[in-house]
Amino acid sequence: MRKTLFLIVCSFFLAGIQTAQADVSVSASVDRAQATLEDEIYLTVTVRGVLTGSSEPVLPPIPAFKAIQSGTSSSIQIINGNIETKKEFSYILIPKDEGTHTIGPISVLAGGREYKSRPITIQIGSAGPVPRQNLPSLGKREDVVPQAEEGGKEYWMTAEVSNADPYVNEQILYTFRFFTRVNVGGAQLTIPEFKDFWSEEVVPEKKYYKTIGDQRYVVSEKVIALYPLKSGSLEIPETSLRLEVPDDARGRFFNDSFFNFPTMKMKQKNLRAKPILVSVKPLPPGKPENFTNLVGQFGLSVNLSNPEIKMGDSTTLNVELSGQGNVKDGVLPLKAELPAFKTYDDRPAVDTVKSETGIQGKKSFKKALVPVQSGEFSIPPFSVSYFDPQKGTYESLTSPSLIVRVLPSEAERLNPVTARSSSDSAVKESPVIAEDIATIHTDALALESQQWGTGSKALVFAGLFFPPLLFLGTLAFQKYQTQKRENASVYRSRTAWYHFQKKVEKLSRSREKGDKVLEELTDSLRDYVGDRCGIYGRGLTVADMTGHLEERDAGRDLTAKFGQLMQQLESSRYGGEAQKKQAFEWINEAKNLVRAIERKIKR
Amino acid sequence: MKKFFLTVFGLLCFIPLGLHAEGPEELFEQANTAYYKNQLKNAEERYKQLIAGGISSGDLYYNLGNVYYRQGEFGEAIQNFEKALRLNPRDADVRANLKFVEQKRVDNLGETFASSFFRIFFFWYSYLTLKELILAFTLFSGLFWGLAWLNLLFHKSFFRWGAALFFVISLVIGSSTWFKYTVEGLQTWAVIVKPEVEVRSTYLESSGTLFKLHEGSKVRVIDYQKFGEKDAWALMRLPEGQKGWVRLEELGII
Repeated sequence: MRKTLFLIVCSFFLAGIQTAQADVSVSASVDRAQATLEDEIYLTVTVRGVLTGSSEPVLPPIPAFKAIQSGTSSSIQIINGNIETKKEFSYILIPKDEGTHTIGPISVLAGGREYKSRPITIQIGSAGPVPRQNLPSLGKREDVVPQAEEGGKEYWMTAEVSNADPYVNEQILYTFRFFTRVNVGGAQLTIPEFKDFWSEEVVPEKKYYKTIGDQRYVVSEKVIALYPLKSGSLEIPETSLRLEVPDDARGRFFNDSFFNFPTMKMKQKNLRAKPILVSVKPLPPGKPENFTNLVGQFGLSVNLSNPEIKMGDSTTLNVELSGQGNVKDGVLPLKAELPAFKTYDDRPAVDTVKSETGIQGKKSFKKALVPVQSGEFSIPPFSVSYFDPQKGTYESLTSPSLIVRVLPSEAERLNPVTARSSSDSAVKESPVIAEDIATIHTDALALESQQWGTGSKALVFAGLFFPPLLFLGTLAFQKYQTQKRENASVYRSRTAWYHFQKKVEKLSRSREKGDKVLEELTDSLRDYVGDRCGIYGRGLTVADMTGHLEERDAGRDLTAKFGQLMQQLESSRYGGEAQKKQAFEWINEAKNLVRAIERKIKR
Repeated sequence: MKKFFLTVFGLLCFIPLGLHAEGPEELFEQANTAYYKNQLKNAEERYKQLIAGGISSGDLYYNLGNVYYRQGEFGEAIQNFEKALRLNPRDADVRANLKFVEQKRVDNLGETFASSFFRIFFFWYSYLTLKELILAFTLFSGLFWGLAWLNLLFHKSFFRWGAALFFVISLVIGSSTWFKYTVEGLQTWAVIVKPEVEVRSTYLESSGTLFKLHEGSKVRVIDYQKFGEKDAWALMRLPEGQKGWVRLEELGII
């Protein structure tokens, strides 16, 4: 069902398309039939009924206008099942000449056929007048070509040169100014191509107020320095300014700045300044030999960074050419050979100052002088020639003669390199050993690389580091073992009294009696002595124990008492004298005696 | 499928063999033949090709030194004989040729205190390569540590005295090795390869000339300044301590 519906809709559209292509029409219209040279005219070419395969409109030759394509739009309308397609091509026509001009039929190719519009006639009048003005002074005022006429106007522009008959290479100023007392927008300035001039922008854009009559205008100014490259009559083509200005149709009242709404209706305007003819004079004959096309007013200064130097040091000759004109074209005028020096030229530096009066600047040349011998040397004077357009004559600038004193350097005295001579001891020590060198080696072994291989490096590293590591490891192990032994002995010695106390207290609390108590007490005493001396105590005889205690500085009396106590305990234990004393009495006696011994040893 | 991959792998394995049509042996033969036929540029190129191929052999540098000498380039000849001497210090031909070519040297730059000290008191130093010294140091230090280890275990005076003896030997060889490594591994030495070179106070063509050196002089390079590929400078020092800058292209690094 859906498939059927889709096919029906497609058929419907295709049928419509066929209908539309069968009926193609082209029409052309302009937004106004009358305009001035400052206006823009919008031309619209409408093509109806063409969907595919149509070409863009082909405009006929219209020399009176400059045509700029400004866009296209298309639309499809379906009204009661009828499809109408429409395509609009927009153009902006900028008038070039006054008069009545006809735009011929505009053609469009569609479906292999050519369709044409009807011709359009447009009447172009001249631009409106501008008010009388007092332009800012600029060079020779009489050379300014006035483009303004009397009368009031809201905006206008001028373009002029400071000198209409300069010499070749003489600097002249091209000044563009735009005056307005209404708000304008979207300004696009088209500066002409100065193809016969070398140009450099002097003032990129400057704005200021100017009162002309009783109206206050905002003036936008741009100044470009021009240097004519050849003589003869040279034309600077027209300068144009495209901008948006308030539409007069909205009434004067709303043009007041108070009502400067952002939505104010604007219209496009094209202002143009007429081409300027400049009559360039050739330079007069009689050019000096050292003339290098410098035209203007210049000065020359020359100095040395250090007039007195040592051998091995260097000094710099600074030459500065400054003034107004084509200073960039200056070349270092020093041509003379300086045999006493090695010379090195640095890249010249140009430093310019741009102002409304033109470009002034200086070109600095630096020449490093490295003496090759000591003594007093003169740098001869040299001269620069230029053409002064104000005087109309060639002028010459001459430098003073400079003196450089070169002293013998320390380097000469310190020169460590002595040439070998027949009397040189070094030569005597190494007499000629052969008439010629030994011949080459042709053995195939020569191809064995003598560099370290990775395996060799690894072996060497192993050989270097393994033996010391083995030694140090063994040493560390031995130290560790010794320390461990020593530490265990010290620990036992320090804790002997503590462990004895613990055992005795435990014995006191136990319910053991008779032989068992004596046995444990004697064992505890043996353990105490053993711990104190870092040996096994249980196997010690009474004599061994007293001997060890004496070695530990327990004192003879205490040692003797200890011996007696041990003998009494063992007698009681094995001789049946246990009943002589109660168990706790033995324990207390042993405890007190060991405490006394401990104190004595610690002291 | 497996067979296909094995076949492709096998073919790929054989491709490198096909690319090396001229082996080092053939190149070496050609270079030697060219030398004898006095086709010295040809011989130079082939010896250089072998060295660039990774064969760092004293004999190759020696032969290249001979080629340069025959072409009248004493600087490069000395540079290559010095390289050969580092690798084959006991080769009589290398020593003889170096001494012979050095006689053509103009400058007499003297010798540093350290090198003369080592030459006199460590006479073996100049007859052993750095590699040999390292191996000797490895051997003797290994013996020292081994005997010290045995002494640790058995506490015998024989081991103790043996360890002391090898310690002294290791110390002497170790200091020689360190000095050689400093000279050959850490320091950069070069030979002047242009007939006459102006030594400048700084790395600018416009700077003053301090003194001049001539082809074959051996100097130590202590610093570099590079301003692109064609403008490179080296700060060199002479044995007596004077310094100056020369263009890198005027030096042949040993």
